[in-house]
Amino acid sequence: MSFIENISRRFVFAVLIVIVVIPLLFPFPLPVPVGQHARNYYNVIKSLEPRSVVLYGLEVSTRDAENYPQEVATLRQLKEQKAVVIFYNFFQTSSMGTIWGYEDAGYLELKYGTDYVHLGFVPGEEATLASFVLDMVGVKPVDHFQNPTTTMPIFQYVHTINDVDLVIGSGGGMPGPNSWAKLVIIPYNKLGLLAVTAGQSTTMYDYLRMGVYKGALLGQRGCVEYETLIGQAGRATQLFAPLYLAHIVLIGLMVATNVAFWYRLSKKGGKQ
Amino acid sequence: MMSVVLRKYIPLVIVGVLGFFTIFSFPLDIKVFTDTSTQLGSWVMLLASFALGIGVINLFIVHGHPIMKKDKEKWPYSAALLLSLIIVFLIGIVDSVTGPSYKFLYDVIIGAGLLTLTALRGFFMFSAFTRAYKARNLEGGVMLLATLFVMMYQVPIFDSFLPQMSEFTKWMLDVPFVGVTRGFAMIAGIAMTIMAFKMLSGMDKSWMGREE
Repeated sequence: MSFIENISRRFVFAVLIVIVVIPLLFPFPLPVPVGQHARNYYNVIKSLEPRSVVLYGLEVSTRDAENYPQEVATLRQLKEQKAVVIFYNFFQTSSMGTIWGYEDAGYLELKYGTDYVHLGFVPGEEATLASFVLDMVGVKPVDHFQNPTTTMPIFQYVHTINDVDLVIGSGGGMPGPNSWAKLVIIPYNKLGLLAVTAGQSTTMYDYLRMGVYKGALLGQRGCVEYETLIGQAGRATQLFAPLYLAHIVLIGLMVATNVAFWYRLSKKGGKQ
Repeated sequence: MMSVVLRKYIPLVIVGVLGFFTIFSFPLDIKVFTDTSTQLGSWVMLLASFALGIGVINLFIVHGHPIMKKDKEKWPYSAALLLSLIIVFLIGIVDSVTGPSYKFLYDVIIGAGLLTLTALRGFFMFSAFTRAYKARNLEGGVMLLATLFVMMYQVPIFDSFLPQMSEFTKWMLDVPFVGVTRGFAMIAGIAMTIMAFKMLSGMDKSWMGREE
């Protein structure tokens, strides 16, 4: 019992390495039932008319297994729906993550400035966002590539948030989806979707319950569900087995260490 | 007298007037308020860009100090940081932030480094949850149970043989959790309103960094 209670860090790390590496070397499919949040997310995008304007607040800095596949899968469905996408980043590093995402989703085949535009990093966080939605070109006169936005075809008919059909708040930090909800979706009564990490998802249930965000991809599991719906097994599905096994082992270890702890307490008559 | 006006009253008037326009642009759909507020938002972007520049200068001051003093423990890290900063800055200037060299630098070093840190954090969290997360009292026990339920909710296998657990977790996240979150959000909102009122009215001058 004392071995379990005082389990060594080396042992824990070794266990984690094994459960992460084995499914990567020998991949196996895992059936994941589709939840309501992912289904709503899919249905909202599916209901978009061709040439609908989507304002995508995207905060993805790494090719991880949560936000990045959410971004790629969402962009694939938006591309199928022929939506026009405007990318907006709160963080400097997200501007590169945005490029990775739309490259992987096949956006390079589309016409830049007409079908999509990457505005890039916009300093000033929430204060700038509040102004941006009232005067997009005025606040962001150049895009990520330093092209003037005033002459772009998209911005000939998209001037303010009133010209946008859907807002997607994505990412795992602050400012992020919380800011999109507070400053854009609620005040202007816009249709909103959410894509966040599992860690941040717990802070978003209030918005989901209120119906601010009509659908959501919550963590890697949400993305696996969504990839099932769009029929494209992407990075989230491929990398789900290590996460799945790690959760099961972690739950088992947490229960075991606590049982060992309580057993020792009972032996000592409750004294820690 | 003049210096007091410059240091105390002028900043207060600027903050009061600008804050007034920004706050009232939300509930009042009056053109002068919304236009002024939008314009101020553009200024915020300029100021934030300027602040980034000040941040760089500050970084040189803070990390230049151990290098100048040849502080054995700190100078190699400070030198590595400043050198990286200079390299990224120069590549950004020569090749632009959208050029192939900058993209290569981001993809291979910065992006990979961020991902490595995230992965490492996973190992430490796994270890911490296993070794330190103990139900030492009733509150700890409730927290441990809630954590276990939320984790089990992430793994579909538990849906199959413990569907009640899944339903319970869903209820837990949708009802008590949302209630608590809402309560905190309301308290934070009220506190921020009071703070904003005190700052705009000049009752709180701590943001100026001194008391006159």
